[in-house]
Amino acid sequence: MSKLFQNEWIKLFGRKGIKTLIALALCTAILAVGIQMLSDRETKVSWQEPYQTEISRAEAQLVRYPEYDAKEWASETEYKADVLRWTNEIQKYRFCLDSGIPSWDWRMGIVDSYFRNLLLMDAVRDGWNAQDLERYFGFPSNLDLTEVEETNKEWMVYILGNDYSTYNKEQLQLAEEHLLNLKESVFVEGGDKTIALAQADTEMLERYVTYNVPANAKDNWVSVAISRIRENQGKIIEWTYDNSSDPETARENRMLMEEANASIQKDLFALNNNMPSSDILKDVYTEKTTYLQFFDNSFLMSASVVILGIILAAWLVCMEYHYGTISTLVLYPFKRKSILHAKYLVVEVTLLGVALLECLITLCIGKYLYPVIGTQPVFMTVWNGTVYWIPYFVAVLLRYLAVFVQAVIMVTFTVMISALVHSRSISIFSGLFAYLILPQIVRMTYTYLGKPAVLRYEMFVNLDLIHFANNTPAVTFAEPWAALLIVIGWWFIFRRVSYMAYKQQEI
Amino acid sequence: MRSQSVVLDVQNVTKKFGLVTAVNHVSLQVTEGEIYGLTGPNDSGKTTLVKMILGHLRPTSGNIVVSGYDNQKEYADAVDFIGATMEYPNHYPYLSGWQNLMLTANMYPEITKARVDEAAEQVGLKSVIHQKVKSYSLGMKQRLSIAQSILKYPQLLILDEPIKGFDPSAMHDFVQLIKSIAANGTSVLLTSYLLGEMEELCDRIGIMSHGYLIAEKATEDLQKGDDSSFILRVGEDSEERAFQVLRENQNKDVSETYAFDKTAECVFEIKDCTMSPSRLNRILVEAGVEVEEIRTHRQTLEELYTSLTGGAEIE
Repeated sequence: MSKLFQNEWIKLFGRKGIKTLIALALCTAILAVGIQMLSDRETKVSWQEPYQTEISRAEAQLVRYPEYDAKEWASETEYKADVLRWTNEIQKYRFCLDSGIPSWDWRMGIVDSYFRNLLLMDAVRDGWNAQDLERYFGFPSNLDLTEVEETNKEWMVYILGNDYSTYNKEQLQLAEEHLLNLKESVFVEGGDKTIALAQADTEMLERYVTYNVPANAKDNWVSVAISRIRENQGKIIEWTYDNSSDPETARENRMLMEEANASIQKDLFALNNNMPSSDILKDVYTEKTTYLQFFDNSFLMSASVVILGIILAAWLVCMEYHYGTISTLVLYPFKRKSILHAKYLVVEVTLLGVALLECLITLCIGKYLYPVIGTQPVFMTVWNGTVYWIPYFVAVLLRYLAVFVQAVIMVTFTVMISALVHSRSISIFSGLFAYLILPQIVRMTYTYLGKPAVLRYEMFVNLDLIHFANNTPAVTFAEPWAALLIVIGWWFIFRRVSYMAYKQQEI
Repeated sequence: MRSQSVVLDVQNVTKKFGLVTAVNHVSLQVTEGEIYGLTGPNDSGKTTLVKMILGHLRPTSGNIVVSGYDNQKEYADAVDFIGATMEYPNHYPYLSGWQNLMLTANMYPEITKARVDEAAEQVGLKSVIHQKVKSYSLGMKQRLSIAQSILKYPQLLILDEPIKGFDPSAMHDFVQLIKSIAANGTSVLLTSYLLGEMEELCDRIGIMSHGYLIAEKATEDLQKGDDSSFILRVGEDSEERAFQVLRENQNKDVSETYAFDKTAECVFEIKDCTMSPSRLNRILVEAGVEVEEIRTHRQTLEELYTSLTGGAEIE
């Protein structure tokens, strides 16, 4: 067997074109840096820039429409409402620029509310009546202006003082009171669902106070984790009280709830152990590209391993027919199954090497160009209610191994086609079609054509192993264990058919 | 035949492709050290038979036994004794001749690098063995195929149209090489359309037509000729007299009969002759015929082939 392997190795690497192809696959890791840079140029701008854009846009509108124009607005009141909005926006963004408050700052929510109140007060001063205020701005008619003004003064203290600690405590106190009121009320609109949501709000604020972090700060991982927990709790409450009679929807809800529960478990684990998971860090806003973002982008390039596998497999099997060497090959004192097995092995070893090298190159480039700032991320997963974690670079390695497994399955499929039709182009086309296009067709069919049950365990969607690695199955309608079993089943069938075709063939 | 040990035993083999019968109840044996030649017109079934021996095709019926192993039931054991060259030389063109030979050498632990060198030298490729096969001519590729097939000193060497693309010098070398291989005990089964070379090289020749093995003849018998057939050549002036004498003496005596044909000017073919050549000579001389030559008639392979196949075009 080792001799057959050695021969197949010589045949594969004796070809210059194959070596070039492998080198190109390895270069995709470097290509990822270029794509990342292009992406950064498009998306990564200074925090001030969006504010300046908004100010310019509002100012341009004011210049363009200094007076009411009946062609553009249905009424003069509507025009005045827009003028008030533009003026208010200019004030708000200028204030943010002057005070150094970026969009991800915890105070941004208070700033939004503050300027909304300011808009209300300006409108009242301009003589707007309660009916128009509700119609054009959505303000309730029973608002007490004095109370609004007082609230704004308090908020400005928090904004200028940046005192989130006191703010959190005050918000918690208000939430607790609200929850108590709800529990004591005889009738609550929305019933238990409203109480459950209020309970979740209170828990969230308790966590902000306990961990003493600003609420809803998009640049702080603890704050992001707490927000994520609340968000997932909200989803679970919604699904719990969703009395859908459709069994398919109920089943999907159950699976989504399991996912949300797992996410909550992971985030709580991260908070309790002061260990940010990669999931959380991906949601944290940063101005510069992070290590994690780079890996996510460069991972898209790993598809090159699968595509390379399809090409190598088709070439290695079909070239024996193309050159006519199959007639000599079968005269060696080995079973035909062993010959095909050696071909499988050579392609698989090559792909494993390429996947590991690609991973190594990516890790090295990532470490050099996008170093980790602050806490080292970890990868977390939940299994049977227990949270497990591994260092992130190990997770990256495992993801590349998942790509390798995916490549092995597509190689088996391609070899099967090659053993049946002996045509390199048909085999490559079939492999690429099965890998790149068929899953999309199945997804579209599933989505748009009434979810036919036969597609539930459709093989190519479930062959999308990358989603297993990310702990987010691509299709929520297939149980991960069932999908994995189907993947193994298909692999086994492809392998058997390819051996049979090769063995039975007359040359 | 140098030995009676059977290396290849084809037993009543038939191969059908749908309604077409490519090989029809063919039986043949090749013994140790024997060079067996197979010839026949296009589509006579030679290559199909070779492919069945190599296990590339499965017989519809019948058995093929190589060195005691059934090539269907014990394929790996059977092919272990075979070295083969197919009609069209098949190599990896992007590898060198040496690498192609090493691919085969790797499969058999007993084949050393020295043996690879030796095989390259035997077929006259030593000087170009490290060049890429894509730069080889058809003749060079044929020689590389032969080197590949003899690397492991096979018990049975099968050569399907091995001399395509050979120049006269290469042909001579090839004949010598195959003879020396056979002298070492290797049995050779070769197919070819070059009847002259077949006759020179082979110990026995089989002729196939329409899937049947229609004749098998030892070349020794062809060369030895037929004791009951003679060629008679007479002087130009004696032609008519000779004809007359032959006719007069035909069936004259029950114990001494013959038939005759005039095959060319002054040449007669005497068939089924029970009379000795010396007695025939005496009768003719006594009758005043100027006898220039009386010799035993030796039928060439080409004559045999033409008489059996009606001169059908050969591959």
